[in-house]
Amino acid sequence: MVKETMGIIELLSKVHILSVITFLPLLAAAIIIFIPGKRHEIIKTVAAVFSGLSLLLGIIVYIFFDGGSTSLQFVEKFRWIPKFHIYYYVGVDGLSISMLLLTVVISFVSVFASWGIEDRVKAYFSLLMLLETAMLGVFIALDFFLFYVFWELMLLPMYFLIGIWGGPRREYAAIKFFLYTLAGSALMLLAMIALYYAGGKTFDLVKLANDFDFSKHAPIHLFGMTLPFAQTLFLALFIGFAIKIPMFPFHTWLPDAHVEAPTAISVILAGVLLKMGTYGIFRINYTIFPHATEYFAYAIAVFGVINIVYGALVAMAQEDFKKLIAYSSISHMGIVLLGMAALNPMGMNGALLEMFNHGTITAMLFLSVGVIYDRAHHRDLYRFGGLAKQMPVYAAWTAFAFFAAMGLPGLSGFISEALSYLGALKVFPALTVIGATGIIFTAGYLLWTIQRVFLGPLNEKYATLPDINTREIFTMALPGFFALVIGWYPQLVLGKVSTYMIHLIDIVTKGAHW
Amino acid sequence: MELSWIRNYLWLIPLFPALGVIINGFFGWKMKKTTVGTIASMMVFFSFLATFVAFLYLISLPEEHRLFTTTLWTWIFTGNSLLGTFKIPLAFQFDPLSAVMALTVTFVSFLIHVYSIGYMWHDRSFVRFFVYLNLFVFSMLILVLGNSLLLLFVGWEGVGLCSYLLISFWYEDHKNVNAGIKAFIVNRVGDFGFLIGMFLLFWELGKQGVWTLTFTEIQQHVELLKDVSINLPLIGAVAAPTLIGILLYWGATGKSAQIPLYVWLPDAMAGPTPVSALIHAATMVTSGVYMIGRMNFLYGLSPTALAVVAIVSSLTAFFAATIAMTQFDLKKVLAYSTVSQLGYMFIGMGVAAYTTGIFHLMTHAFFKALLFLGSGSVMHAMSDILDMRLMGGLKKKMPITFWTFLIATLAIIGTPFFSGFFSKDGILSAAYFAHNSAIPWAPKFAWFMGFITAGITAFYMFRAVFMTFYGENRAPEEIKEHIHESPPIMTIPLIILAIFSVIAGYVGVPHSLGGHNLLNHFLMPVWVSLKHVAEHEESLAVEYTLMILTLTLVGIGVYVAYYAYIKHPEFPEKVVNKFPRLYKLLYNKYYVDEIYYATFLAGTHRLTKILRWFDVHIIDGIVNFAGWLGVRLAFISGWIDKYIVDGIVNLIAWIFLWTGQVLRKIQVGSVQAYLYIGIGILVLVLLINVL
Repeated sequence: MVKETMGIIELLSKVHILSVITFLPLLAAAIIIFIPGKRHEIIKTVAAVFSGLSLLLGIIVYIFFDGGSTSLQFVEKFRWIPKFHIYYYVGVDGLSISMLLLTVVISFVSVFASWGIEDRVKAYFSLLMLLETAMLGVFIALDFFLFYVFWELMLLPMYFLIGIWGGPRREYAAIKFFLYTLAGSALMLLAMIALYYAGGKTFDLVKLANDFDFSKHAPIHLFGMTLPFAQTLFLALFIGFAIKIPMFPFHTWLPDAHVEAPTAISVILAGVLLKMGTYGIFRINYTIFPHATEYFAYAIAVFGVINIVYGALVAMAQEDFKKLIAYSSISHMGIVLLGMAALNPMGMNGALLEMFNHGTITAMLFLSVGVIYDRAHHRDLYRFGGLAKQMPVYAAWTAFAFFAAMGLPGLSGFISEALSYLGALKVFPALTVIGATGIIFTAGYLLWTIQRVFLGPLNEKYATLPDINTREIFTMALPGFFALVIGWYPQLVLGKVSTYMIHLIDIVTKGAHW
Repeated sequence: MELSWIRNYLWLIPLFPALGVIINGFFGWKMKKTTVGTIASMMVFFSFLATFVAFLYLISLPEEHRLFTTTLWTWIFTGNSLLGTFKIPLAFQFDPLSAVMALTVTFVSFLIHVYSIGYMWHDRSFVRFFVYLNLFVFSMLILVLGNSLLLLFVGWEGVGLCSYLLISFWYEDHKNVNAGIKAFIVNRVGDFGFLIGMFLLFWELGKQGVWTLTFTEIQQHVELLKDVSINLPLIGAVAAPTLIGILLYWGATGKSAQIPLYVWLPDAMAGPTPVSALIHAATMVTSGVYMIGRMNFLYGLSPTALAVVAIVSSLTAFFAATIAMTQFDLKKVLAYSTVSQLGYMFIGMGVAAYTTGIFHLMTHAFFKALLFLGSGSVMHAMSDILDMRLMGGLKKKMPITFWTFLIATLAIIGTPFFSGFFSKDGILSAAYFAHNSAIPWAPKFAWFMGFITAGITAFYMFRAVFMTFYGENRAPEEIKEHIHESPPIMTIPLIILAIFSVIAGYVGVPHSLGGHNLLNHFLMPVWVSLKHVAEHEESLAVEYTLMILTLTLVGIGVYVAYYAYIKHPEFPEKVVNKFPRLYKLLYNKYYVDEIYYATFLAGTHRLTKILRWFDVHIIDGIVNFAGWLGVRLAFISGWIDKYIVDGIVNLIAWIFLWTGQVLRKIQVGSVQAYLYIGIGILVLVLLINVL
């Protein structure tokens, strides 16, 4: 059995499985370009088949990924631009494996969530596929330059998907998203170049983490100031990533982007894109600047708590259904920040698991908003009411998603939230107690939303709305499956990641190597 | 019969109701009502059978081995690390305490399921009701069978969820939904404390090298916390068991409706009556009591925490009872009575007489479920009227309901030979004799409050009985016509519960009354913290005196009710007119809801509005200003580009162009032009020379 497993792993490595998963959607985009624009069904089917293949292969890789090991797996490394020592270097470890799974799942779901798109179908789906490739690339890249390329590549389709297929203020939202993220990217670019020269001209993330101690590097002189090298670069990168999370006070692009984005794009945005922020911090900040990480841990926790409480309270005051969910994302990403700052096994595992869980749960939330928006053509929470009577199945699915988001025990959110708070309580007791009040506010705004949309007397205007259809149920059931299963068997994810997360703690606290 | 197989199959107990949820939840809408009701009820019955098998197996074991665990799988494991190992199994445990709880829960639930088939028959959402009800039983069983605090918490919040779903069951009325939300949020406030307490416990044990949250392991190592103290801001050092104990009790005040978080329970009566009976009387609300029993080894280390429990809950018992005196809504009376009786249970726990607390929990489950189902039967007959001022005279028309209701009332007020008598008396005498080394007056205080409350209970319960069943019916004519006894599917559960309301007391007859207190013997192995405590010497004479005193007070209570509501119906009016302020205060429940609303709710609401303004105008304002500035700068640089930079370029170009034109003109060969230019240059040169 062991031998067979080894054989399969070898085979998977040999066929460059990670690259296959990553570039299958790109291939789909290329194919879609050659399909006549009026053949909507064919275009959609091609997208579904290819992202489905990515999903399937992603699951296979996930199954054969050895969670007990801290080393990189399914590694591929080729020279790409030798002159600048740039490699095409990809692989997965405990940090990226769950994000890989999340991305293929959410992308697949988003294809079906896009089934109702009728306008410029060809362009839409080729951009969507391009987006999937870019997202997957970010999570498997081990060369900073490659990482940066995928990171930027992601912006392009996102910009157009919001800017063309979005709501009335789509251009404002798209530009805001684009500029905000670009500002982060600029900081990242500077830090990357600084690292390149400081690290003996390499973009290799593994090498940068293992071979150098940047805390002893000569300081940077800038505008007459002397800045410690590691802390400065840490901050530059951190802000770049924090914008993506989004961390208070860099968060206002998110509600706008969500409100204008089509449903499927919101699903991807909240489900996957936000995780890239915290992933980047784990992958780059934590491993390359361990000392600076410890130095800034408290600040990260403070911002985490602000995100949790502020996000929840502002969510409570929203009148737009989608904006409310967007702020709830901000609140939940705060839990990730708080957990990751704890630098202990519970906090770190909790944070990574929360990234996965929030990805699946928030996908359900946005899908749910999409269902009602498609039917009622507005999202004003005060203009619904009593829909549970008219759309009972839809109400049930939405309630399920809401309770998962509330961190109800028995569903996945509880495990990761509890772990994050548990880990943080040891290190930041007062902060954690403040942050944990979030569980009360979260219950508050979610229950209130359920009431405003589904309960009370039925708004007669909506007495003819059809209930959720099979396709919509399917899109919610897939992430819902994870929300339920992980509630009772979180080892599905923790079993793959916990060994690596403990290793990552060692890297940060003891300066251990990859 | 070989029963040891149950050791590996404890998961069957919660599985059955879970199956009920799945079957009815996905396919119920296609099935007949009878099928749905039968499936739901039978699943709970199977659960009861499995529990019973486990119980039989348990008592076949020697006393010191009466605990077994079924582990399903490793639930949460965050890896081995010196910084902390979090490894919690998904496992169920069965011991005498779980046995008492699980038997009570499944048995009462089964009866209420059957009753509900009749009660909910005409409801549009019949299926949904049974799905929720099964989900509740599932959660409750997770709560009482879970072998770790974390798994207990899963059930703990799970029952909270079901409570919310069932309170707002008739969701078309916003009033019900508000009550449901209130229940959930207030419970969350409690859960917040519970979570912090649980996490503190985990870390404090972890600091001593023990990483666990399972009950048996905490129990094994709890002594490590004996001298540990935690520094709190403003307060200073607090003993770890005290702090953790109080935080866990904070959670219990939410779930079990004690001061300050009891406010949700009276509103919870918005749900269908069987729900009030099952969840908000018999089972869920007792989970705080169960939790303290389960964690008795921790509370054993902290007399302070126990004293807090005793004081707060005895106050709850008293205040809730005073409110119950003035209410007119039958279910509200019962709701406040539940809060008050839960206070009694906690008094038992707070004076470390754990058996008495659990005993009262069990007897209360029967008679309070019966009272609620009885009130449901009344509502059924009265076209959903709940105001006792419109009732009266139902004795003749609904004999079964009346007699069973009367039995339950006799039980709750502690009439001798009824179940409540033994359990309440056990609590009161235990409180009287108990010692507390931290706050010495706490047990006596709790006893006194409990003693007074016993009299008040007798009054308000008989007030309810008299107003509902005696005298003339005061309902409008068209309702009066429809008054009828409920069908057998509802009355049979009433009768069975009535029987248990009497006989359940006999499992715990104390030695002083010639009994053997079987329940105490059975539960004793669970109360590990009591093993080190010497049995306090109880004077029989004092005990009998107390008993007689209490009974006298109860008698007075009943008589006052009789005097005021049968003999002199004008009497209450007089009292009200004499003490209008006190009456208003009680009738309006001490204005606690209003105070909470004005402070916490309105405060949060305001804060959210302020923060949203801040978000839109300040944070996003800065962003948009930056954007605007960027555009302006771009515009200015564009202008500079266009008019200055480009202007210079254009100027140069223009100059060249102009010169070119000029030169071209020069070369046109016009004599006149040559002349002019010549003169011009001459003038220019002259001017320069002059200057």
